[in-house]
Amino acid sequence: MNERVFRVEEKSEEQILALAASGDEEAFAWLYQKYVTRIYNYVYFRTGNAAEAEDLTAKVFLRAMKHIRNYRDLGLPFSAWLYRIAHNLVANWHRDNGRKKEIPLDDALPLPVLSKHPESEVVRREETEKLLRIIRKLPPERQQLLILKFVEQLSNAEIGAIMGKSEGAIKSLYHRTLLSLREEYERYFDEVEKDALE
Amino acid sequence: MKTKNGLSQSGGMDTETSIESTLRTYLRPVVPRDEFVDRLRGKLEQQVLPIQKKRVITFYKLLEVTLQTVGLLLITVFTVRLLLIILTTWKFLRTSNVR
Repeated sequence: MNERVFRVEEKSEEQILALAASGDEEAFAWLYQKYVTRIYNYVYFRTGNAAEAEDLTAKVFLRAMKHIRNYRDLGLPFSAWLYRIAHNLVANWHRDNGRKKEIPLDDALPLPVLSKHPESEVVRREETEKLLRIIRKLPPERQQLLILKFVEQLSNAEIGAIMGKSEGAIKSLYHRTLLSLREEYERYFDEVEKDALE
Repeated sequence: MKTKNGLSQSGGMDTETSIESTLRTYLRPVVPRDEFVDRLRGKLEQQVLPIQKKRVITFYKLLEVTLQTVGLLLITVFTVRLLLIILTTWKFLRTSNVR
């Protein structure tokens, strides 16, 4: 078993993909281990709910395993294929749960602890919650771009490969996303101020 | 505003840089629970096994059919050859007896 894993790790991702597509269990396990955290992050930031993120991540990989034999290398990274599955499942999830339904961020969020001071940690959680609430008002494509850029820390070229767009198109979309995010922010704080005055 | 944090200062959100800085500050990767990762891995392995079992069964069935076909072909060839030998021998003996 260990010898098998070692042999898989010696191969390039293209070779591992070919093995996985031919039904190799170890090759698929390798791909799973490599991408599970990324897909989980993507789903988590799109849904804002740890339990749903686990459920949807499981569905992504079960679906990927079922259809891996049909996977064809079209020059796009394998992650693009996984993100596409995740994107569709998240879209279905939003459709089923209703767009206007607010999902409160779980208290037990697995957000990284960055401060030793509980007070500043609470503030940070609140601010993250606010930010995510605003981001989720953006169209799905823009949400995906922000997650890939800031959570996954991918370059514009990599994001372009995943989203099936050119690097220039991603730059332009990113610029428009920041502008609309600013508008959403202003709208959000206007509402907060209005509520405070009332 | 209750904090001096960047997000709460709406006035400070007028440049792309400040938005980017906010995004960098608050959008941090999260780590899925180890328990979840292991459980899902186990679930995926369980799903793979029946497929592999099915493939092995298919392989053995194919082997069985092939062997049966080859066996039948050999039996037919040998039977025909035996019949020909018997016939030739019988003809030969018959001819010898007539003489």
